[in-house]
Amino acid sequence: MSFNSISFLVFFTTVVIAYFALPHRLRWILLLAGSYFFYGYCQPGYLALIMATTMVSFTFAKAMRDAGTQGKKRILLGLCIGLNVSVLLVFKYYNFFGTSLTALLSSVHVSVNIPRIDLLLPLGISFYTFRTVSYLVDVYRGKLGAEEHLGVFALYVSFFPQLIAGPIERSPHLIPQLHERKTFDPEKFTEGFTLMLWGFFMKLVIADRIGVYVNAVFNNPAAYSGGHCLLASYLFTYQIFCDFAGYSSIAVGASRIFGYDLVINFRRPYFSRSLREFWTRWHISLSTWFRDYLYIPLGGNRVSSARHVLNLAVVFLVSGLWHGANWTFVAWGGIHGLGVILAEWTSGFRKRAVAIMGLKNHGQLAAIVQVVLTFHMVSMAWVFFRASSIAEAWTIVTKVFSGWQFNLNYAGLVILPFTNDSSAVAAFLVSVLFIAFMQYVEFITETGNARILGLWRSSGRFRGGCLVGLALIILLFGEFSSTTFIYRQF
Amino acid sequence: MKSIAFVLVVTACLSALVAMKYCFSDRLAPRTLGLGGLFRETEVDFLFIGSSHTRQSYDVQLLERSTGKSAYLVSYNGLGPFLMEPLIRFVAESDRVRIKTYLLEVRVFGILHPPALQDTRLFFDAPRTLKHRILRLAWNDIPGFDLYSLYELVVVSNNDLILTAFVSNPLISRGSYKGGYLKRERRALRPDEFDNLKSPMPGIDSVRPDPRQLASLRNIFQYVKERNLEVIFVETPMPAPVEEDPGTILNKRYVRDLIWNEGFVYVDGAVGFDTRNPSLFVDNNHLSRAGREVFTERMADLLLERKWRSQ
Repeated sequence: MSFNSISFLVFFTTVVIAYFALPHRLRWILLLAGSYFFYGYCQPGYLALIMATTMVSFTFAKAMRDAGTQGKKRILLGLCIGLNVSVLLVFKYYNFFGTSLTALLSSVHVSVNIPRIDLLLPLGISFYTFRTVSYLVDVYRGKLGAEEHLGVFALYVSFFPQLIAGPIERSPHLIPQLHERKTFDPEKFTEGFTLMLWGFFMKLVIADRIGVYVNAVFNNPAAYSGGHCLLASYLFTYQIFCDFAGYSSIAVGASRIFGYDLVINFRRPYFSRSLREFWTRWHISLSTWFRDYLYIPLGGNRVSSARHVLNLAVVFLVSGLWHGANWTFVAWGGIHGLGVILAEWTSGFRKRAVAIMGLKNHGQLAAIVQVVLTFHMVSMAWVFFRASSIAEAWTIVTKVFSGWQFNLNYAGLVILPFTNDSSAVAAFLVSVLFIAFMQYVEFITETGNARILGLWRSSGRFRGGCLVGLALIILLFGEFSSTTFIYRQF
Repeated sequence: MKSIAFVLVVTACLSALVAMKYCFSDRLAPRTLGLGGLFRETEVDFLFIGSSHTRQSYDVQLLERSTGKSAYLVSYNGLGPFLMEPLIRFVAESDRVRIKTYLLEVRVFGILHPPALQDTRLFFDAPRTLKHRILRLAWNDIPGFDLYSLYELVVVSNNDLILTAFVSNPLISRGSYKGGYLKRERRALRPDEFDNLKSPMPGIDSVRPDPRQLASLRNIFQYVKERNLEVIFVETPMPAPVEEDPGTILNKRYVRDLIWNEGFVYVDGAVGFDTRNPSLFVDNNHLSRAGREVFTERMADLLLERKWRSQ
């Protein structure tokens, strides 16, 4: 069941009403049954897999708690993580590694035949595997005790707002909340509803609208010119953000209506002044996961500089691979990793250059330049993320610099793929308008505009008017015919 | 209570906006395209009605220069007889513009294909009475037209055009003339692309028009006879790989005979047109700029000398 469907709205409304009507002791049953229904609605066949993963992890965590020595705990932790990761590897990466190995061996004239396994990828497997692994590690590290209640643990793994595409909640943050007695809180309801509405705006009004253009160009880049490729790259930068941040906003909002606080997954990433900062603002639950469970265990930055570079490279490459079994994702992670490493190496030089050029006193100008540069680096990397192959991504990146004409006729041709008729100009203008509006709201939040934020907090009428306006925009300009969320596939 | 008030306010605002849109959207239609542009004319010698095929097949400026007569082109993507019928009725019964000759597209694939409202700009440009007719037809006869499609059509479609009318209309007007596009040029086919062309509906080996499209075509015949309108039916040219597809040949012949049997003029655009020249086409359906010029000149000759009587 997708958030952007009528069936979800019916399901969600029913669950919310039933949740607050039921006594506390029965609520976990409702939420768990609802979560499994939510999951099984799309992939009933894989319900058993998520249940089995839950059972195994629950049992191992308790065994770890009861294990007498640290050595035994470590073995149990390794075994259970191994089991969870093996399931992920088989379902998501087996064919990818098989094909890559075959290609590698055939390049040195060794012929092997690795059989393919044609399995449908279980929805949300990367997300719930990471949630489970973090729980196991946290129990091992003693950050929290092993959960005693199987139902609550199962709910932590599969709580429907965050089940398919995150945020990747940590057990010390969510599990205690699942035990708390919740009462209907009108303030949390309004907050949650606002977040959901904003998420729907991002997804239905921006992401799906510009997705039409992006799909047309990325599905056949050879047929398009430099202008098309550049516009499609910029638009995908916003599509992926609005799609994923929209999903996260709906997830956080839906949870808040029940009274649960999920972590904020995005903090205005396109206002980042460097790639390193970008990763503190983009998919925060994943980047902090990698920081805590991979980067720091590898030694983080408290090692030799060569080892530090290696650690960064490993984290970014694995992060790329986490997104999908394709070299394009590895390349995307690699570009980000390279960018961060280069920034580390050149930070001293850049500081000296800023001082020499006298830019120290022009902080705002420097910030704007940094934001624009970072945005473009991120956009370029997204091309690799979206393209179906590295060769295709390279075609788009190189095409951006060719075939330009500077006249109105060419501009008309560039925007044509929006609708393929005369209304393309209107579709383009509206897309730009809504992206600008979204960025303006982000800007207000980023800069903490006291007047508007104060009005938002203090005036119920202003808030109500904004929400009515937002709802009308969604109902009048939403793309309701489409499409699943991009991160659902990961 | 607040939630209920919110829902009520949103519903009331939405209803008011949609009602205004339903009643007045045609007033925001572009001035040089579609029905909106047509009703700014007072008299038109040649009115072409059809799909994107028609739009891509005629250069209106060239036609007017060559014939010395006025012309206008009403084209909506995918327009077949099913939705052409209410459109013709509406134009013929309107007292806003006088039409001398109608040139109606009878694209064979438009008749084979089940009815669909592909181009919602038709609904946007349509005055209220025509909107009623289109809605009734869509609800009763368009396969798969459900409540969701109704919402999309009435509430969502064309809001972009409304919101940006003050900017997009002047831009659209700059790029179009009397219903046809100006300057916008898609690349013509390369020979290798041309050789790989396939019919838009491959694998058809029998005569099988869609019954609703066929019924609408027959209704058009009857209507133009009743009102004594001068009508020419035109099949614009398609590239040779499509023209020579057995399904195309069979069904074109069927449509031609149908028109001839009713005593109407039928112009087969492919006759005398170089359908083997890749530079005259942009895809398996549409003419390139060069193709458009060649075909327009040919049609201008036909219209001037009324040569169609010999076709």
